[in-house]
Amino acid sequence: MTQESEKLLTNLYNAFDPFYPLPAGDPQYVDCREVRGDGDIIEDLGRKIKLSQRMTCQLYAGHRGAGKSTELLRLQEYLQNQGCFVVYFAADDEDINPEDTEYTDILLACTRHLLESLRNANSKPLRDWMRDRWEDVKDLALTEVSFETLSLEAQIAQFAKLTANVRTVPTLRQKIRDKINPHTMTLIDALNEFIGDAKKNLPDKSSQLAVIADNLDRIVPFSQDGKRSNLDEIFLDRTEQLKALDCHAIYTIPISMVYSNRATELINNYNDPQVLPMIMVQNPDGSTNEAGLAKIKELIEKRVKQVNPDQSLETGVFDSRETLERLCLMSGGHVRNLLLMMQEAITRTEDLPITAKAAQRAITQARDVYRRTPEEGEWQILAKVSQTQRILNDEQHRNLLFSRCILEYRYYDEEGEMQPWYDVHPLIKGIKQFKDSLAQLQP
Amino acid sequence: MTAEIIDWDADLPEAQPEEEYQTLVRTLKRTDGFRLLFVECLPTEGERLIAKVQADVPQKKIEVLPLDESVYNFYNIIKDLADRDAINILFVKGLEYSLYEYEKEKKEIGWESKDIYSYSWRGVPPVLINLNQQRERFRDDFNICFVFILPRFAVNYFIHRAPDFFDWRSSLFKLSMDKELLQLESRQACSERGKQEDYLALTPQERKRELVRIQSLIHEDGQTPEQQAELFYEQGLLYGYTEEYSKAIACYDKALELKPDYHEAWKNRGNALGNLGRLEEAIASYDKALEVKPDYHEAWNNRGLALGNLGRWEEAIASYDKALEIKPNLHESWNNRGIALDDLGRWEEAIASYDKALKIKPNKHAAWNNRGYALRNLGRWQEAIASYGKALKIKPDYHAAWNNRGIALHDLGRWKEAIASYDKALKIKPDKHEAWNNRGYALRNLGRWEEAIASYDKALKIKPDKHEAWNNRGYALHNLGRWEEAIASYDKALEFKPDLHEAWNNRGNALDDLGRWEEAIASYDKALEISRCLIRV
Repeated sequence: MTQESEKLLTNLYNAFDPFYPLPAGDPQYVDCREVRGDGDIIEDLGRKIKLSQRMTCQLYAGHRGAGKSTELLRLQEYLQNQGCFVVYFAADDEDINPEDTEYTDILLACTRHLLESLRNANSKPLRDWMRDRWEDVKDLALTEVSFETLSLEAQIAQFAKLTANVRTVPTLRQKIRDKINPHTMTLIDALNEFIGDAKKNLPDKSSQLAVIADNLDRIVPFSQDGKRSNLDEIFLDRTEQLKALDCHAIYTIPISMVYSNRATELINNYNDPQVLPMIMVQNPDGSTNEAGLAKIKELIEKRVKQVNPDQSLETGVFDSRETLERLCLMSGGHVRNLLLMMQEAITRTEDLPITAKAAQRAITQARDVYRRTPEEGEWQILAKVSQTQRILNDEQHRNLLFSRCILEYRYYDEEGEMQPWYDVHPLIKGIKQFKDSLAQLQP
Repeated sequence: MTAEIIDWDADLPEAQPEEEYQTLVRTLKRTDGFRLLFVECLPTEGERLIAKVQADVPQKKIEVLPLDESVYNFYNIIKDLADRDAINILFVKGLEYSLYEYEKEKKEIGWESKDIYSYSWRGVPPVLINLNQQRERFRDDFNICFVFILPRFAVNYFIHRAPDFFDWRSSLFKLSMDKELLQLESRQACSERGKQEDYLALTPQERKRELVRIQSLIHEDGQTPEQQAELFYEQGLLYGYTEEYSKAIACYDKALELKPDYHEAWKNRGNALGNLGRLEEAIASYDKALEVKPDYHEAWNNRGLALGNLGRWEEAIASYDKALEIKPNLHESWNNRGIALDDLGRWEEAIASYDKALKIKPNKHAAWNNRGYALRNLGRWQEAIASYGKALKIKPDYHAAWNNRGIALHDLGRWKEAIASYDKALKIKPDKHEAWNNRGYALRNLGRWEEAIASYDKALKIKPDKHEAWNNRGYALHNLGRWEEAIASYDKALEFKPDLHEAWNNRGNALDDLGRWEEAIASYDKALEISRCLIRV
C-alpha cells in the first residue's frame, strides 16, 4: 500500500458521504428522469409555476434518501433563472419537531423564513399582527418587555423565537399553538399583505415568488387508535390555508402519505402530488434494466471522477464489472443506500481495486439492517408485494414504504401510460425470513 | 483470475473481530470532520475497543462521552463540551440508558406491556427525536467523527425510530463478544443477587443499570435460548421486587417462551399474577410449575394462598398439605393452613397447625396472633390473651395483636384493660377504625357514653360507611336521651346496610321512647322480617 493509494482511497471514501444534497449544477449530478418514470422536477413542478396564472400549491414526495433535496435545489435554481425568487428552507432544521408537528408550526415557519429572506419588504402587517397578539404571546417567546420597545429587528425576530420554542420546548409547544390557532387566518392575511409588498420589489429583479418547504417528509406519520393521522390533519384538513399564501408553494410530504386512504382527497386538493421514485435498476419481470443500471454506474463514476479523472470504474476502482454491477443492483436504485454500500466497500478495502469480497461485506452489512427493520408478521406482506408488485392501501404497507422495505418504481408502457410498481428492497430478497414467507406463498 | 460464482444473495460469515477492528481504524484514519459511525457491542467490549483505538490512532484527538443517565438534548451536550473544536473522534457510550428509561415513560403514559415489549415503535424516545430533528445541525456545527457504542437493542431503536439520523451513518460495525465470555457475563448478571434483600437494597439508579445491562445481554448475538430465558427471568425478578407486576409477567412470559419447563418462572409468574389479584391465572401458573416439578413446595404453598384468597379453603388446605408432605418444617405453610382452617371454623385443628408452625419457628409472631384468634373463638380467652401477649413480646408494634387482645379482654368484661389495649393499637396506627369502634364499645360498657360517641366518631371519620359504628353510636345517643340523633345515626347504619336488623330494632326503641308508636312498629316489623328471613335461611 502506497501513501498515494491510501490518499486516493481516503478521498474516494469522503466523496460518497451521504449527508450532503448536491447543490444545483454540481458536476456529480446525474439526470435520471428516464429511469425514474420520466418525471422531472423542472418539467413537473417548475413549469407549472412558470405557466400558471394563479398561485400554485404543490406537493412533492419520495423515499427518504432518494434525492429529493438535491432535486429541490435544482428546481430552486431553475426558478430563479426564470425570474422567480425562491425562499427555500429545510423545515426541521430550526422550526418544527418532526415527531409532533401541526399546521400552525408550518405556517409560523413559512412566515419566519419569508420575513428573513425578504428584508426589503415592509414587515409592518406582520409586526402589527404580532403586536396584537403580544399579551398572549410574550410569555411564550420568553420575553418580558413590551412589544413597542423592541427594535424593528427584534420585533421580527419574535417569529423565529416562537418557532424555536415550538421545536424544542414541548411544554410550550401546545400553548403556542393554542394561542396562535384562532388567529391563523389573520396571520395569513398579514403574511399575504407582506408578500404583496415584497413582490413589488423582489431581489434580483424577480417577478414571482415561491416558497419551498423541504423536510416536511420527516414528520413521522402518527395516528392514535384509528383517528385521523397528524398528516391528514396538516395536509387535508388545512388544505385551504396551505393554499392561501399569495405565492407559489411547494411542500414535501412523506411517501406514505401519497398512499394513505385519503389519496383521492389529496389529488383533488393539490392535483397529483409529484413522487420521486427509485431509479429503476430492474424490470418488473426481474431482469436488469440496463438504462437504470447505467445511471447508477454514472452516479458512481461522476463521484470517482471528482477524485481521480483517470480512474477506470470497471478495472481500476472495482476488481470486475460484476462486482460493480452487483453493488449497483443491490441498492435497489436508492441513492443513499448506494452511497452507504460504497462507503462500506471502500472502508473494507486496503488497496484498490474494491474486491468482490469487500462488496459482499458491504452488502451483508446493509442487509443486516433490513433484516432488523420489519416487524413480526410483515415478512408475509413483503413476500406478497414481491409477487404481485402492488401494494395495498393500509397502514402496514405504508409503514414498509416509509422504512424503505418496499420501493416504488415507475415507467411508461408502450401506450404511454405511466405504470407505478413496487418491489421489496433487493437486499431483503436474500433474507431467510423473507424466503421462508415466499416459499409459503408458493403453492 | 478464475471466475468463481458468487451468490450475492447470501451473507458472508460474520467478520472476525480483528478484521472488523482494523476496518474501524481505517475508517477513523480516513475521516476528517463530521461522520456518524455505529459500533454494536456490549459495554465491556466497548471499553476495550476505546482503549485500543486510543493507542492505535494517536494522530487524532479522541474523547469519550460516557452517559449513565437519561439524556434528552444530545445536541446541547455536544455543544457544551469543553474544547469541542479540538476533538476529532468522540466515542459516545451509554445512550442506551436514555432508551431504556423510555420504556418506563411509556408505561407511565398507559401503554400495555405488550406494546412496550413488542417493539411496536409507536413513539420515540426524546433523545432520538433530538437526533433526528437536528441531523443537519450536527453536520453543520460539529466537525467531529461520532462513534456511538451501543448494545444491539439500542441499535434497533435507531433503525426504527431515528431512521433519518441513522441513515447518515457511514458504517455499522459489529463486535460480537466471544461466546464463552458472553456466557460468563450473562451468568454473572443473573447471579449477583440471591435474596429478596439484595433486590430491595438496589437504588432506583442501580436497578435501572442492572435492567439495561440485562436487556443488552438478552439481545446480543450468540445467546443460547437457555441463557436468554435466565436473563428474562432475572429481569422479571427485578421488576417483581419493585411491584411492577405487569412488566414482570411480560418478562416471565418471554422466559417461558424460550424455556417452557422453567418452573421457577412459572412460580414467580404466579406470584405476580396473584399480586395483581388475577388469582385463577395465578393458580394455573402454579399448576404449570408443579407439572414440571411436582415436589416444588414453594409453588404448593403459594397455590394454597391463591386458593385461600378465592375462598376455596378446602383446596387451599390440600395444597398446604402437599407442601408439608414435601417439606414438613415449612412454617409458612403451617401458619397458612391454620388460617384456612380458621376460615372453616375448625378452630382446634387450626390451633394445632399454629402450634406446628411455632414449634419450628417460635418467634413467628403472626402465628401467635392467629392462634389467639382461634382460641378466642373457642372461648378460651385467658389462653388467647396469653397468645397475643407472646406475639406482642416479639413485635411490640403489632397493632392487630393489640386490637385482638383488646377484644379478648372485652369478652372477659375487663373493659379498662381492653381500652388500654386498643389505645396501644391506635398509638401505632391512628387510622385503625376497628380499634376506634371497639374502644367505643368498651367505653359504652363502662357507661362513658360521651367518650364512646367520640370514639365512634373517630372510626366514622376514617371509614364513613362503617355501619357497626353508626349503629353503636345510635345506641349511645339513645342512652343519653338524644333520641332524634340516635334515629339519624341508625338511619345512617341502615343506609349502608339495609338488612341490619339490630339497627331496625334499636331504631324502633328510639321511636318508641319518642312516642312515635306507628313508626316504631314499622321499624320493629322490618327487624322481624329480616331476622325471620335469617332464621329461614
